[in-house]
Amino acid sequence: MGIPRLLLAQVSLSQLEGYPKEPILDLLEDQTGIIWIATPHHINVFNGTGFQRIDCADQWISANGSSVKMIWESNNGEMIIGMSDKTSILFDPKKRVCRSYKSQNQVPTSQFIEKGNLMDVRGWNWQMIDDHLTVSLNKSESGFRPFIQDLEINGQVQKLPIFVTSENKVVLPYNKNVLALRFAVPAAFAHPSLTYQYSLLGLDTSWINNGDQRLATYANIGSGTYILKIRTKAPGGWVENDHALLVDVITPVWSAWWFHVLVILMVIGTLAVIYKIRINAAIRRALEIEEIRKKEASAFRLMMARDFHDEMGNKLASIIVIASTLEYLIKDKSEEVKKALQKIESASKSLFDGTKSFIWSINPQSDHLREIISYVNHFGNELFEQTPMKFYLAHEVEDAADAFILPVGYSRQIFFVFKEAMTNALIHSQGSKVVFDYTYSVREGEFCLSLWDNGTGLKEDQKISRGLQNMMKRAEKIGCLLSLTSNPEGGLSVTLSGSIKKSEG
Amino acid sequence: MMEPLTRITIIEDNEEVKDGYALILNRHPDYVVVNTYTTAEAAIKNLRKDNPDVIFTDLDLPGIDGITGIRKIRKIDRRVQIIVITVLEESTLVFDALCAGASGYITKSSNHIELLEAVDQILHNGAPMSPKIARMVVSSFQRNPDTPLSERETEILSHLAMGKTYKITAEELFIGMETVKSHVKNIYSKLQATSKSEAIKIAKEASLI
Repeated sequence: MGIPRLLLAQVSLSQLEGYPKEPILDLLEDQTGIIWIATPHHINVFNGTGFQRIDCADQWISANGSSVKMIWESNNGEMIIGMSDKTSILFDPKKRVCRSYKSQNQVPTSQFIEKGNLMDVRGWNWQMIDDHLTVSLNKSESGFRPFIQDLEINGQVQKLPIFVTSENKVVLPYNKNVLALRFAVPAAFAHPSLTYQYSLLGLDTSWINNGDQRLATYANIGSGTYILKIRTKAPGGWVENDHALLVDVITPVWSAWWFHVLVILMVIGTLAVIYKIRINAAIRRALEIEEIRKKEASAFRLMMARDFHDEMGNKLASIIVIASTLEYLIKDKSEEVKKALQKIESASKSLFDGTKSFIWSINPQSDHLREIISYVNHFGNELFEQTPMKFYLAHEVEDAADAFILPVGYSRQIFFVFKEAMTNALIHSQGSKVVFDYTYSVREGEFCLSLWDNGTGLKEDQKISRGLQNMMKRAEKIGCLLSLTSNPEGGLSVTLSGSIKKSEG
Repeated sequence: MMEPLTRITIIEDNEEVKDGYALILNRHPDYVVVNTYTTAEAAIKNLRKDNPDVIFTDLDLPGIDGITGIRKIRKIDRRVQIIVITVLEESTLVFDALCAGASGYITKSSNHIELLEAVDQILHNGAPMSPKIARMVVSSFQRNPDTPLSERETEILSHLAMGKTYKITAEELFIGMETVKSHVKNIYSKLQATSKSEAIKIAKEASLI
C-alpha cells in the first residue's frame, strides 16, 4: 500500500522533484488546471507531482536581461510574463513559442484573465512558509473532498498527480484489468466516522457504499470508457472528488461493433459466394446435360434416318424397279395392265419420295435453314424442270444460313408448305416464272420464306382450297405466320414467317 | 460394222433392284449386262475379265463399302464409267463417291426410262449435278487451288451451286444444255484429280508415302 501523500494539514512542496531554487514571486492556476510559478529568472509549472521549467521561456527571459516580476494568462490560453524593465514576453504553451514586446500594452492579446486569490487555488491555501511553498487546507467543505492516493493496476502501483485533472486517463487492456484504488481526504479532515462512496460510471448504476473503507477494487471490467468518482459525507452533504478519473478499457478487436459487422458481412459474403458457385455449377451441369441430351437426340435421329433409309428406301426402290421392269418387259399389254403397272410405279415413287422427305426431315442436318432452303430449291428444280415454267432461287444459298437452326419438326412442315405452294403454282397460276426467296436474321432469330409467281393470282371470291387450309395448319403447327397476297404486277406471293426465339420462349 | 455393245456390270446387294436393272439393261439393244454382284470385292476380282464400260454400284454394300470399291476399281481401270445408285442423291456420300472416281449418280427410285437415260448420259453427255453437289464441288476446289477449272467451268459450277437448273444455267450463259452437261463431266474429272492430289499431299505430309 502506497504512503498517503497528504496526511498533514500542511504540506511543503519543497521536497518534490524540480522544486525551484529561486524565490517564488508569483503563482497562478490556468484554465486547464496547471499551476504556473514565476521565479526571477524562470517560469515553472507544477503538475501535482513535481515542478518543471519551461526552457523556451527561460531562453527569452535570459535574453531579455531583466528579471520576471509577474505572470498572467490571456483569454486564449497564452501566458504573459511581465519583466522588471516593463517589457513583456508572450508565451504560447501549446505551440511552445515566445515573442517579446516593449510594453504590456503592445501585447496583442485583448483580454487578460483576472487572477483570483492566488492563495486559494483548488480550495487549498498556498503559502510561503519558511521560504517553502506550502499548501494547507481551508477548513471548509472542500476539505472533505476526497482524492485518489494511488492506483494499483494489475498489481503495479501507478503514480498519480495530486491534482488529478480531467486529462488523466488510465488505459487498461481488456484481458487484464484488475484495478485497486485508495482514496482519502486530507488528514486534517480525516475522521473514523467519515463514510465514503465510489462509483465507476458506466459500470455501476449507483454509488457503492464503502463505509469508512478507503479501498475500492474492480476486476474484469468490460471494454469501454468509465469515469471513477469518489465522494465523502461532509457535514453539509456529499462532497465529490475534484476531477473524475477516466478509465478506458481497450475494446478487443473482436468486441468492436465494426468487427461484428465485418464478420457478418464476411459470412454473408461467403455464403453468397458459395451459393453463387453452387448455382453456377448447377447451371453448368444442367447445360452440360442439355448439351448431352441434344447430342444424343441428334445421334438418335441420324441413326433413325439411316436405318429408315436402309430399310424403307431399299424396299420401296425394289417395288419401283419391279413395277418398272414389268412395264418394260411386258409387250402388247392391255391398257388396264399398263395403267395398273403405272399406278404401282407412281404410288411407289410417291411413297419413295415421301419416305425420302421423311428421312430428310429426321436427319438433324435438316434443322439448319440452309439445308431447308437447298431442299426446297431442289424440289422446285425437279418439279419445274420438264415444264414451261422457270423456277429460280432469288439469291444464292448463303453459308451463313447454316448457323440458323430451327427447332425439331420445323423443316418438315416448311417443306410441305412450299411443296403445296409450288404444286399450286404449277397447276393453277398459269404463269411463266416461279421464284423462291428467303431472308433471315440469326441475331433476331427471325426468318421469312416466300414463293411468288407471275400468274393470275388469287381471285377476290376465290374460296380457300383444302390445300391452302393444310398449308395454314402446317404453319400454325410451328407457330409461324402464313400469308397469301396478290402481287400488284400479277401473281401470288406465299410467305411464311416465323421466329425461333418466340418458339423457345 | 456393228457397234460393240456397251458392257455393264451391276454391284447391288438389293436383289430386286439388281435383277430388275439387269433385266431392263439387257433388253436394250445396245447394252449387255456382263455380270452382277452383291459385293464390291467380287466385282473387283472379276474386273479384268468382265471388262465393263459402265459399272452401276450401290454405296452401302456388305464387305468394303461402295466408295472404297470405286477407288479400287479406278486404280485398276481408269476408263470405266461408274454410276452410283443411291436413295438420297443429296447425300455427302454421293459427293465422296464422285471424288473417289464416280462419274455420276442415279436414285434407286429411277424407272426404266431414267435408268437407260443415265447410261446414255454418262456415255455421251456427262452426268447430272445437283446444287448441293455443286456446292460441295466448289468447296473442294477452294481447298485445293492448284487444280484449276476453266473460266467456263467455274461459271457453270457457280450457277449450279446457286441452285439454278441446267436449263436456266444454259440460258443465262447462252450455251446449250448439252454443253453444260459436258462441262459438268469435265468438272467431275478434275474433282477426282483434285481429291487424289489432296490425298497424296496429305499422305506426304504424314510421311505415309
